[in-house]
Amino acid sequence: MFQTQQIRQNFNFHTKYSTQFKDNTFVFRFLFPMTQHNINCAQVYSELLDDRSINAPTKQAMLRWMDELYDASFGSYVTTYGQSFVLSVVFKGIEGSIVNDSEQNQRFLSWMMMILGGVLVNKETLKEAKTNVLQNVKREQEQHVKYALALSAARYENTSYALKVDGDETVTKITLEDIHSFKDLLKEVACDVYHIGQFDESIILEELKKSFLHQDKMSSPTFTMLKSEPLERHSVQKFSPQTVLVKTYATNVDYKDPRYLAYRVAAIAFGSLPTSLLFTNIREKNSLCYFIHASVIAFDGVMNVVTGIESDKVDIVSAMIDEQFAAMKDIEDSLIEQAKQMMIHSLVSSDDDVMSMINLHYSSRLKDEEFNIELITKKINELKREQILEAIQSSECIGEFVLLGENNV
Amino acid sequence: MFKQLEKTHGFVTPSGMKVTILYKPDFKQQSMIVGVPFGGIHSNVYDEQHELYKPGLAHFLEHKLFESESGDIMAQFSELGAQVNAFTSYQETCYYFNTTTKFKESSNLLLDLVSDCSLSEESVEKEKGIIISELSMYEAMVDQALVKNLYKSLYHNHPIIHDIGGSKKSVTDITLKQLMDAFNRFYHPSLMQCVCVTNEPIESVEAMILAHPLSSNTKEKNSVSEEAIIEPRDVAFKDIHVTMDIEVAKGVYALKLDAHEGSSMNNVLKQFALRFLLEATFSELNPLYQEWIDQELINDYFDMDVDVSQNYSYIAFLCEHEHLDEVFDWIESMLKKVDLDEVTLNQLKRRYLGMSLKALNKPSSLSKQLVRYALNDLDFFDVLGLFQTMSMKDIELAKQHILNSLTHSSRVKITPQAK
Repeated sequence: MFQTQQIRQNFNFHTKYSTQFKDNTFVFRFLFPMTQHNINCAQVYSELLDDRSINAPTKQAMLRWMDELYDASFGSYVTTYGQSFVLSVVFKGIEGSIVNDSEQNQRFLSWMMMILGGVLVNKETLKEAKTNVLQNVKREQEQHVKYALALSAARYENTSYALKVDGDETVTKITLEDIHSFKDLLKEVACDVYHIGQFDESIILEELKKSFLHQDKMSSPTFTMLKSEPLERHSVQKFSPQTVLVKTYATNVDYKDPRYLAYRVAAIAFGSLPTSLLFTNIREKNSLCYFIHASVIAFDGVMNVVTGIESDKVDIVSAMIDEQFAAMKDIEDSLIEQAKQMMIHSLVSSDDDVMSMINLHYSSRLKDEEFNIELITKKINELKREQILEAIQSSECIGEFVLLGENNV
Repeated sequence: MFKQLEKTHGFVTPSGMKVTILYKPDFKQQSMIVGVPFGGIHSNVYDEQHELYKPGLAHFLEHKLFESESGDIMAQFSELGAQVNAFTSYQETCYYFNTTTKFKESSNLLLDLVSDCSLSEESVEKEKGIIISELSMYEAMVDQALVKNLYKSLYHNHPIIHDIGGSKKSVTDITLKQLMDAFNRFYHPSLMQCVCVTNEPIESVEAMILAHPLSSNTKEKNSVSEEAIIEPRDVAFKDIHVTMDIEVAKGVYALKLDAHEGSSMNNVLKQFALRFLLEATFSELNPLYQEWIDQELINDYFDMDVDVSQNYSYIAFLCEHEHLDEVFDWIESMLKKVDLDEVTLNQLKRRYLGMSLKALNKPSSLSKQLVRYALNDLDFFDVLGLFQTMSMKDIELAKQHILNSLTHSSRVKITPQAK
């Protein structure tokens, strides 16, 4: 697993030596307090970062540099963690020994640190970055499931869950000063650096210590539990051949709760397997939909059930979801066993995927827990039926949102 | 180079199924994928009543194959801790699973799945609602609508004009008899390709596959009779305009290229050469790219696609703009100037070397590539190295190919619906 070294307060380096992959992966994770302004700035900064750099001031120069490093790649994205969000910057470069190039690794490391510290911020690049974010916000409205989930979340006003992770229209107001302030904040917020590959870790550590990131950093709270009185069903119309129904549940079991693993197993049996109660009874037995699934947003204490249906079937399907939720108390042991096996499969598989490894390790750190696949597997196998049922029964449905397709428009 | 980096073993079972085993000892996940050469494009095949297959038949069959007389096959995979799934593309249907435990049991189950088809009228009727709901989901997606209309604009008769899933009407008309006809015709082991990615000894995996009844199945192979595809040189529609509930207009500009009768490998080389030319002209490699962004002619939605197959070929540009014709006119003028120098060719070769090496990092997606190329009589590892052999002569041929096709263009526009 990862070897962790603390460089400064809330600034950690995690490395895993591995010959499993043909490249080296580096991920920088910056943890910010969740406000819509911070998210908007992060989205704009992410666009700026992915574009040009002080050392490669044109797109052509940047691409030439990346091609010289055998298709070195980088990209950044924003994900939420309850009351905070993370700006992740991912760099990938082919391992030098694979292409018999003894200078490849060092050149890749220098390139990466220059990109990270040399984001080109000026009037032109800011305009382009803001345009890109705004266009992404508009495109979100064209992806019906994503849009339905965003509109559903927005109803829980004054919670971090309601904030728009892709940014919102106010992004147009961001100024150069905002971006410079955000860049200063980037140096101050908690930072975790991950590496997986064959690099010499002492060389990476040296680079990090002499970089602009080298200072003590502040921490930021993450977990939260969505609390809300049940909301009435709300519909928004859309000219679309399909209606999207979202039912939102407050899990009342947070990520640190001892019942958390039991809750995840229950949610898989309820709606994340091709043999789950929702899939079997609503799709397979009644042919009412093509997709239906339950997904848990752990750091917000939320579970959403989402399905695409015909507009005149909203009441029937909604009632059937309720029935299946109630039927969880009579769930067959074989389904519980399948859910456990799938959760274990997913955990063990993470060892083959760099981003899954990093995500799981990072979430465990936020929980102040050691990430140990064998230990978690053992805990899952030991879960009893009663624990699993008790965990899901603590959930309550707190809202229903419908993106209503054209039949009713 | 790529073959030396991976340990593979290939063999053919007595029943004719071609198998490739990829040994990945460092990986926890193991997988098997079985592909059959029956996809969305095969609506030009005649059944035994000499009626053409309904569009969407291959996809319908994919849905129904998960039903088994021995019980719920999905549940059996889940009990083994394996994730099973399938997909239908234009050319093929593939079934696969991945697991971290009980690989051999899951492999036997997957081979069982593609060996037998037992359906009832009732279950076929019930599936129609699910598939029609799936079609509605795709119908709501603007990117799907662009692709669908791109094919509709370019082709008069080619079966690619039908969606892989068919239409609501064709799905409604599909019968049990036609599903069984397709199964008996295309799901013969001698037509199948199987790829395993495993951390177990190759010999034991080979023995396990050879012990399965599908490996010794000697049932007679039915012939496949197809309607000839006669496709005129010109495009079917110069302009297509539709509306959807979207925020910003999107479009595709496409060139219909001559069909290629050459070998599959030759077609792949042509595809690489065309892609390199377009990259050099329309991507950040071109110093003018920033000007086009600043002028708001293109944005980060702008993309290109090249497909060179034996009986259809095209290049296409995806754009987002309020005045799509302005962008289409610009693409048209740029296509007359496509070019690539030797320095850029070498830069692209270096990039593709890195990209190809990275493709080896994910065994589950690697197995899908291996099976899809194998169904087209291609060795994926040979394809990975092919771009290294590309010369300026290949680029020049690709350039001529584009210039000769400039009059065969189409424009698809999807604009926001009035609210």
